[in-house]
Amino acid sequence: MMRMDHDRTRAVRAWLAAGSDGLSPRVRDNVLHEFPLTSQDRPYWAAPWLQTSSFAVGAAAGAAAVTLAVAMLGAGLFGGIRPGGAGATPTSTPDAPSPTVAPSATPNTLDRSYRDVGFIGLPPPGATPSDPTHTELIEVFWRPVPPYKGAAFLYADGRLIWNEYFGEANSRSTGWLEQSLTDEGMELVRALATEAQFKGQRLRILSPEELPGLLPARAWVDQAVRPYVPSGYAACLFVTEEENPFTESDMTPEEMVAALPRAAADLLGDRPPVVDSSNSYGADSACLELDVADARRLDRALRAAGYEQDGWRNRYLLQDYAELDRPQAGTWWLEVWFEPILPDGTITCSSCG
Amino acid sequence: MDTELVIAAQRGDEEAFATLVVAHGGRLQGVAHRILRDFDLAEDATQQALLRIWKSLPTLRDPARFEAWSYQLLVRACHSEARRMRHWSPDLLLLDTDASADDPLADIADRDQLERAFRTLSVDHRAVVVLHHYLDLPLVEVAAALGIRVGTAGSRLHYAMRALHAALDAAERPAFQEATR
Repeated sequence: MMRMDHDRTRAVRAWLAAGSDGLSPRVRDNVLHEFPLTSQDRPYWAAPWLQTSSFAVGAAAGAAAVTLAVAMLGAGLFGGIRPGGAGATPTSTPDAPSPTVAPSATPNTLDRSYRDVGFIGLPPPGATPSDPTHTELIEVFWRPVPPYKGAAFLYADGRLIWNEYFGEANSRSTGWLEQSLTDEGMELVRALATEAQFKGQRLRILSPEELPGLLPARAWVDQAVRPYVPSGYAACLFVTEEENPFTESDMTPEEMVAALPRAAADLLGDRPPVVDSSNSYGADSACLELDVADARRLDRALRAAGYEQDGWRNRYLLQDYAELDRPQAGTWWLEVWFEPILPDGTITCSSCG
Repeated sequence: MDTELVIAAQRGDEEAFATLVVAHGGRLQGVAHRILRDFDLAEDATQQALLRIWKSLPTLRDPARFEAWSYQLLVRACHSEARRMRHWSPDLLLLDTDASADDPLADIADRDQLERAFRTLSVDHRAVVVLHHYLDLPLVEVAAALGIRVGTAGSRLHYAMRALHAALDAAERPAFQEATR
């Protein structure tokens, strides 16, 4: 016998009520650490007393906040805080020539300013591709927990290419960064990562930020953090339903290319596929290889057709594009993502964070 | 609710905002968890929302509307994380449940069907269900929190609940129960 509506609603409410509540220590620590480094938006209409910069208030309020936080939550709260550079004000400079960041005055950690070095999407004009352009991938490390959260790739030539989530290149990720290790440094890093494993040893963890404190000077060819500049890009085509991004489309790669503005479609015809090593884009996507010059041409073709990058900084969202009236119900968007090709010839989602 | 704290945080008072984070972050994460049905993504959505709340707090004209406004930013963050979920294809984890004799969800088939049905809903539909049936916000407040018309909120709730009710009915059908034995 079917239940009455109120019984079914009661069942839904009970189902929603089950499960965990509360703020995770990871989120709490990260937010309490990050927000003082983030400037507040000041609206034009704000009352005069609101126009005061949070940083002008800073000294007294900051000291009070530290006192409060320690008193409230105990000394262990900030166990995950990254040392070094705590006063830095993050700024996004994705289109500016990329500087490098030297190790901080504190020898055991990197200065936080490395978070401003990288870029998402196409490289700044004139940037020299990272050398060598192709090499063997030795190890992939993931660090899903604080203080560092991100991914790191160790290559046979000693490069450690890594990113950090919640970085400044697009407010979600630092973009790919690189440092260079000696052979001894590579072995030490692999040993360190093997010692520190996560979740039943499924994930090997590594914190590039903490490496300076763990490795001797002779482990480094170059400890300075530079942006990784790829020699090629994948244009990843991806169709998503407006209301529900969980839905997979049945659009073929050829159909997606054909649905692009003509100049963009012409650029992407007959391009070889690129391996998406983390399956970031799913089975219904197509990632096609381009050199940097052609990636810039594709960028210009999309812009000429009126499609701009959005806040991800490597995505063009082709909304309301007439060719995307699919047999499947719903409103479908065609997305084009630029992904830097890593030295092993693969890509992953560089901007996801 | 904490209007003085909100006003102080609007002025850049970090101590006040830290207090708001500790006091209200748990509820935000609970909502995110229920919308996204994934613990890691809910954590990231909550973190993203809390940092956005701090950044945008001076633009909130009515400090008394802080709570509803914070849900709006949280749902936006959930949208963003849902897109990431589409990219990263994580293992989806079922929420822990503790069924008891009085639990109207004592039947595991109910939970399973609800979980499946809920995941077919858009983030917007999920948000209306969670704000209304988990937080007990009246529909008018749900609409205000999400920045949509009350009629739209009502329509989304009706659609979503119809899907969830249908899922419960499906769990009762003999064929399903046979298949799950």
